[in-house]
Amino acid sequence: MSTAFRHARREAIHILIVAGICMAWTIGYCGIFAYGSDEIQLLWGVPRWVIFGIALPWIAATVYSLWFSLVYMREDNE
Amino acid sequence: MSSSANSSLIAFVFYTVVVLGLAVISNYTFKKRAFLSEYFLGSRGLGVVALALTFGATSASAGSFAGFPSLIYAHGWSLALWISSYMIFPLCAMGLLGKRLSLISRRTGAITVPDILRIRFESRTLALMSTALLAILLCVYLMPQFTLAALIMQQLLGSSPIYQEAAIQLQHILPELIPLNVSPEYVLGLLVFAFLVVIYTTFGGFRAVVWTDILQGFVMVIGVIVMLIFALIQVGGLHNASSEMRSMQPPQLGTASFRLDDSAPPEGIRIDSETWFMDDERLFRTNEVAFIAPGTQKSSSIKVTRITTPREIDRIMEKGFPPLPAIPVVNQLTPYSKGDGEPGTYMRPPGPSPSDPNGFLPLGLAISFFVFWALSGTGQPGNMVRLMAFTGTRTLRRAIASLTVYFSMIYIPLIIIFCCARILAPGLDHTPDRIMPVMAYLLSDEAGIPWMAGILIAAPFAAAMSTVDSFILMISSSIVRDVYQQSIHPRATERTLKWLSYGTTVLVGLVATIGALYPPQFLQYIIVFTGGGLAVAFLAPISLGLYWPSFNKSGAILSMASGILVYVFLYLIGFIISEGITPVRPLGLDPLIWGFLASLLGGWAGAIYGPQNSKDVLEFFFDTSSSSK
Repeated sequence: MSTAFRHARREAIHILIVAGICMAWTIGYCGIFAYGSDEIQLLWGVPRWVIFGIALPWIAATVYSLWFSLVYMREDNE
Repeated sequence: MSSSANSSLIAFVFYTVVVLGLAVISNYTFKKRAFLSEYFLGSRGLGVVALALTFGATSASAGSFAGFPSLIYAHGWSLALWISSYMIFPLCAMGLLGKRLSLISRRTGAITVPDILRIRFESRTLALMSTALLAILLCVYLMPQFTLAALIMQQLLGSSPIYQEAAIQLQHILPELIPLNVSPEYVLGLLVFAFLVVIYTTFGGFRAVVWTDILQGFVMVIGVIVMLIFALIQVGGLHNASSEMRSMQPPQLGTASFRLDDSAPPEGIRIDSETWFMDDERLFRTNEVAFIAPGTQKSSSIKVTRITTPREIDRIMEKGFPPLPAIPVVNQLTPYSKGDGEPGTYMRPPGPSPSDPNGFLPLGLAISFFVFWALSGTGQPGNMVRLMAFTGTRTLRRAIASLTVYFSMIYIPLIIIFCCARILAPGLDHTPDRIMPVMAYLLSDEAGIPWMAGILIAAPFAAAMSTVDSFILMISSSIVRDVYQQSIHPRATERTLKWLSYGTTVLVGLVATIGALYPPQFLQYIIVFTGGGLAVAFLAPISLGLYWPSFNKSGAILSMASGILVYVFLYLIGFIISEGITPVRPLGLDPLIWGFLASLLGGWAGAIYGPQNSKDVLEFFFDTSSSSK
């Protein structure tokens, strides 16, 4: 197999793993603290479950995406 | 309102001139290059900004700026969870297939998605099958997009006296063009939109579509950021908005008519939509226009919303509102199935629902949507085509980074803006689709800069345009390249292909316009159904074809067929049971997920039991002769 193919395959597997982690974090946290709780706490004017279940993984995913695309991903042109 | 409407008209005319100008320049550019590759793929010359914004603008359809805000308004913070997989959308939609698709399409000279399938699996049958699926699903997808665009046009310009006069003239000149159940304002909006999109797409091709996407991408993000600032200032900060929302409980939806003790005067009595009134100590807002015709005493029944949150009632009463010119008669009121009498229901999932006792977003559906957006975005042929058109891997890398930031700047602010809308513009729960233009006018009027409404409201219009133009071009390219050039007339001259491409592009636009003259029901459901269908049909065959050397022609055909059959079957069963476009969701999971699983399974079975790929294909696509591992 060509180097370009092996790079692309490795990167695709990386992306799938990260997508799975983001899903587990978001759905897991919201499942417990948003669906499972009647109390609504605010943090910086936003429901707490949004901050920790969505905003935080969103920021983490953004930072990861920037690192992945600008640093980790290989240049493979023909 | 009228000055805002005229500002919108001026902004729209300016926008139209710029878009048509871009098409002219694009047409001039491609005179010097190979026609098909330039017209349908922009000679594979997309740079970072172009790739990121054309990808973003095409993904953000009219639904993002009409449907999504109305859902936030109706169901509150639950929409943050509903849309949350956009955190990984750019990474999945561009990163999973981008590099391979780009390399392979350059190597093979492919310019459409069916082209890739034909070359990879050495099968004209598969190419024709995928072209048929693509053309059918995209044509169905275009009709609600045209309808939504016409509705946006109507809301954008409907209150402008010039627009109203033009609609009256249209009705006089071409009465046969206006079906019974639609207004002349709607038809005028549809014709203007269709004319503009078809002209610049036909004349300018892919390059014009991308250039207008860039313009539209900037319009969208600027519109959203300005709205966010205005909304937060006017609501008194996010903390204040959330505190108000925490005490909020869903309204009651009902109908009412209006009566007079005497007959109405010669000009009749008009009660506008969004008018406040009291009846029997209860506070209501009209959600439609009521009219008592001259010489009569009663209006027909219209939709009204009853506000039930005490704090909200006090706030509205404190501001005050003018008395009604007629006596209201409230006919019936229906409480929400989920959330009625529950303060705080807008602050957490599953969110309130007028019809579903499980709420708007039960946990199973939340899981489905997380997978849905990522899979659907990766599997859209419209996105795949863009991944065949950029200059090199460096462009792809920077575009992923740019799009990640771009989507964060669009979707998170939209949630905040339209949660604030519940406080700033309450009582529109019967017609939440109107919330985008209502907020645009409200925010700019309150800020004392009514002309800003024109810019704010251009965002949804731009979103509709940027999706429609890409899809028209994609259907046209499939028909010209994959049906005519590959199967009917392989030696067609460039001149023939050029005029055939122009003709097909115009024809596709005309078909969608005629379809939208008779607006289909269930717009959002049709969009979701066709978008999901495209992803189910194309994602597994393309991704397995790009990454799995043993994946063969039988696997690709079985994968495409089994995925789309399972997907359609679940919708069909739902249609029979519920008499609407509501699919059956086994284990609470969306048909897209079941369709995709069936597609993977079918692909695996076909690959295992079908004939092997030729050595040429393996060498060409996977460089099997180079160092193995």
